[in-house]
Amino acid sequence: MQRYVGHAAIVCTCLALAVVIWRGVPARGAERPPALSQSNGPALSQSKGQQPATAVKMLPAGERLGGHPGEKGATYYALEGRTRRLTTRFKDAVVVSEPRADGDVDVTVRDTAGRDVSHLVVNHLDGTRDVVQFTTEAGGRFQALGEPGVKMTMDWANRQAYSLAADAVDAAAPDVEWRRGLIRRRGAPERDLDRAVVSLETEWEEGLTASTLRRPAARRKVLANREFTGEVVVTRLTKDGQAAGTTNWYPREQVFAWNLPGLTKGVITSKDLADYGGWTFVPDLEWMNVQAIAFHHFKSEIDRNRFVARAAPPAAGLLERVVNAVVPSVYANEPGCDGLHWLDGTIFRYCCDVHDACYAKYGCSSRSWWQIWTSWRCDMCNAWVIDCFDLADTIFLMMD
Amino acid sequence: MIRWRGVVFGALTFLGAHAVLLAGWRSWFEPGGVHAAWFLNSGRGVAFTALCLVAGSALAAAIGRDKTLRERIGTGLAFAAGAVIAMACVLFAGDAGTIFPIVLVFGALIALVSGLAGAVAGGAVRAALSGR
Repeated sequence: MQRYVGHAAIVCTCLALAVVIWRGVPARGAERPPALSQSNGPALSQSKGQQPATAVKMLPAGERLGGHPGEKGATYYALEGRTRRLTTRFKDAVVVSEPRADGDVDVTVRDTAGRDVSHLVVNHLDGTRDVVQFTTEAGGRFQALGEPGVKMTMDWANRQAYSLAADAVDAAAPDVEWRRGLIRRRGAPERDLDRAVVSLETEWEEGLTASTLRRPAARRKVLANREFTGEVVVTRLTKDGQAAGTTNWYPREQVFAWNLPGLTKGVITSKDLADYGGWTFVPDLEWMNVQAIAFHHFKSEIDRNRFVARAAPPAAGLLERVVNAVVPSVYANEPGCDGLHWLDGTIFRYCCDVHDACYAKYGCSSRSWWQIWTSWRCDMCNAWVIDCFDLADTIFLMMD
Repeated sequence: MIRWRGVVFGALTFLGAHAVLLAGWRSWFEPGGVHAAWFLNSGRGVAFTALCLVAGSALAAAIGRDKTLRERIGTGLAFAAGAVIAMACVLFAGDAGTIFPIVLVFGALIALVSGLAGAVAGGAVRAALSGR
């Protein structure tokens, strides 16, 4: 009997141990071990007890986010920021904005008779906060904080000032709301500001002035006799009062063409931009002006500074000397297209200048064409210039 | 089969055209310019060299024994190849520049078009003169 009782006790003990061991091992997918929860315990309880929790916004797996739709990039805003005066003409008003020395922007709205109607000031408090102050000739005034995500450029300021004036906002007792990036009178009807703008003139540094207007839809023979039927947005660029070039944007055909005699000439279609996602924004009148100015500014810089390689050839290794014995070294680098200066006045020149700048930056020489193992950066310069010539060739054949 | 006569003709024609370019570069091809004497550095140089290549290829085809269009095209290709070889030699003898592969492609295209056009035209002239 005692023997059976002893056996039963051993079996019970083994069962008890098995249960303890079984419960102690966490199953796959089970909750975190108690030790980890305990280590986070105080912080977790604090966040639960004192701070409001914010939900994490999840994205579906595999979803790609585009850069910044509608954003035109830091270079664009840097150029736009060097505007001396921006004049926007509407059918019933002319709006002029000028930057102050401290970077704030003064805007004046005038009616067609030239009388001041209202004023607006954009006060840039810091990199992220802006204050808008609106004053009417009647003496009313209000100020409001800027909306996060709204880029308060001079073009925006002109549109905002016009919107407030056209909405007949009572500045003394404003009943306004943010609507599509603009402060509007509550209940005011929708307005297509892009279409309301008749022309836009940008007076920039270096004596450059760009003026853009729309021309109505018509049949036009452009770009090697291709027929375009939509409207065209035309920008005329002047330098110290003298004509410096034109750019055209064909919204229906999604084609942008430019011609700055002596500097650059070309055309870009949405097909050319396919690798970059096409036109990631809708070119507006302000972009047209800034782009025309950018062409002149950057191309003049390139021509003036003559981006050419200056790097001395590095000491040759054994393998290099063997290769050079077969193929002679060439180090020449002149402004423009070396050995192809016949094309210096064409769109190909841009490819050569950028390639020269690339060589200068990474210390490349002509040997990098066959010594591809020496520098992948130089290989990239060379691959880029081939791609550029290929694209420019397509553009060259399309042009008149 | 390699048409050596066409290759030699092509090379000699290009070298001859280049010699003329050297002689008249500053006075006619690029007056007041700063670039080296090289046919792709001047629009006039391109036109002159292309004309020389057309004439040379036509001559090569006219004095040759090519009977069919296929044979004339063969002569034109050989002529262009000879011109490209001479072109590369001249290019690397001086400062080839930073985009010399692209330069060679441009030069080769000009040689190819000129060589083929000249060979076809020269063969046609020979056929017409011989009453065939």
